[in-house]
Amino acid sequence: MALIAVENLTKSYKTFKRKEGLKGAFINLFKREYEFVQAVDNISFHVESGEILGYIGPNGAGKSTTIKILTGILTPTAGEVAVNGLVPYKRRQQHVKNIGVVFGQRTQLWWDIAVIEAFTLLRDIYEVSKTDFQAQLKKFDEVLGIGPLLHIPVRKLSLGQRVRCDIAASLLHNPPVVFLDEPTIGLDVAVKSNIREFIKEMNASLGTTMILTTHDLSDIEYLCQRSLIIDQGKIIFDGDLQQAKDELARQRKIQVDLYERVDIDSIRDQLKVAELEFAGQNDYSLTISFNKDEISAIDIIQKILDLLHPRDIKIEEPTIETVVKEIYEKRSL
Amino acid sequence: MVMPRIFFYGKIYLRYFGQYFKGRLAYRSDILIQMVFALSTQITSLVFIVIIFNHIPDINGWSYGEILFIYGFAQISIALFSMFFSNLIQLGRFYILDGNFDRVLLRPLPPLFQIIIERLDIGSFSTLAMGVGALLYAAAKLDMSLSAVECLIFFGLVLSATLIFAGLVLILVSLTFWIKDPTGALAWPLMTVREFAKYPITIYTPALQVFLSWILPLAFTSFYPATLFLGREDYVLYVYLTPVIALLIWGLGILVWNLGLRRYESSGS
Repeated sequence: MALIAVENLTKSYKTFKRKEGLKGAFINLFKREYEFVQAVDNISFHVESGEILGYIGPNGAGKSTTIKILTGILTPTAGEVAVNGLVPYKRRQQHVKNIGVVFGQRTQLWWDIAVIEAFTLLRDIYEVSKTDFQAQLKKFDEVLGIGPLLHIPVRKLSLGQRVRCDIAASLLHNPPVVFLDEPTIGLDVAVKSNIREFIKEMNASLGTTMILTTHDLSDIEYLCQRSLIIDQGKIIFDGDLQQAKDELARQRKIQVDLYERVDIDSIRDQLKVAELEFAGQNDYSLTISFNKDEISAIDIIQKILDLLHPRDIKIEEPTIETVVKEIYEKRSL
Repeated sequence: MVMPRIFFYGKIYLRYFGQYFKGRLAYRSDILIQMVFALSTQITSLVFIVIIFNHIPDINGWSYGEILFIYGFAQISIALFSMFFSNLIQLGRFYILDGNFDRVLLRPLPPLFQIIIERLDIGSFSTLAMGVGALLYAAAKLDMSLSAVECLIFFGLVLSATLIFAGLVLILVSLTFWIKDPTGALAWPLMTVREFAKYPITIYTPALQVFLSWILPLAFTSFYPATLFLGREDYVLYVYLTPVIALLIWGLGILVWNLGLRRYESSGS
């Protein structure tokens, strides 16, 4: 059985249309028009034990709502959810003992007390034994380098330090499932890569199942074999984004740097490919965009070598961003 | 299984308590200012009462000592409420609107327990000290002497009174699950009306007496239980009712809380 099973999950909120301005605010006080918003609209998916699932989508797509249902914060309007055999919102207290949650945007630690104090409080709440606790701390210090932070009050930590501590805190009780909601938001490159390493390490050594929501697709590229893309409450993609990148992004670019100025029109005629254009400020470089289903990069390069004497040739692969953008656009058509 | 769980919660309570103090002590000057401020407020109101009662030795058949005793009893139950339950008032703004309730729901502890233990009001210590002072002074004035059993009963009644107050606050703030309440306005009426409960309720009109006994039963947090020690026979039934009402109101509070919890929809984001 899958570790996380979501079947036909729907969550709708009742909201009212807010009228603008002060006058509108007064009108709202007495008369409200309600409407139902489907934050999550009949979605189903399974996550197997040991997976790192990427969960992406634009703001307001329904990511947070899904996570909040899976973590037991919200009750769904319809559908079934089981995590580790438990229905989160029905057996909340047992359920949250089995999970770890990190919200990159807000800390789960207590603001005024030192990190180590917060950790020992969590140790007592989750009933972790002292030996296990020491072992966990040691492990976290090795990868996340949190040792020097332990005696600093949470409010005095920088964002990167705080997120590292938050991640450690969420894993103290060694949960089989961890939810990471934008753990790398606002972090510098070094901390980001440190956190990615840590996530990968925990997944590999302990088999921890992780669900990762992020806007940084390089997180996904580095960590996730499988991703879900959600938009307007519906899942519009479920699979390997690397694979999707190969399948979806047919437009590729070849950039050719030259020693001498060339006549673009004559080259265009001879190459007979869809687009050919100069790139940059000077005339010593040109970029050729092509559809890889129509013509292969090898063919183009061969022709270029026949015609010209290039200084350098670069092939640009589509980025994961362009792939995701294309998936969104396809949906809106 | 039940006993170890109680120990577990007791331990967690004490751990939170300790951490809270450590957190607060980090702001040394703040804590000092709070203490001084609270103490001066208390002293002012005590001086006020002493002056008033020195001029009016007797109201409606209640002597100065008796009134002071009731007043002290009320102050003690209010202080204990503030110390241990006042964080409930934060439910609307800090927890629900600011999204801290999500964090609470992610911990394997009952949410109500967590909110109660997350913050203590140390400033109320001065209210407590003043209440105890007023009570002892009144007891001396009335030549009161309590046996060990009576002392136990006294503590039981103080506990009941505190629980009644906490239960009423719990009922009111639980309504936040239905009504958005950013300012904590739902609990205001209680904070105002409780001033009435600091004095013998026979001085009020019958309507107000009924209101204080059966609608917002704040008379059970001070006047009724206090009469037991003043040797007034007419209110014995009410004294016995005090713990019953405490359990009923706290039970009702838990019920409303649980209904609200089921309705909770987090603030989004």
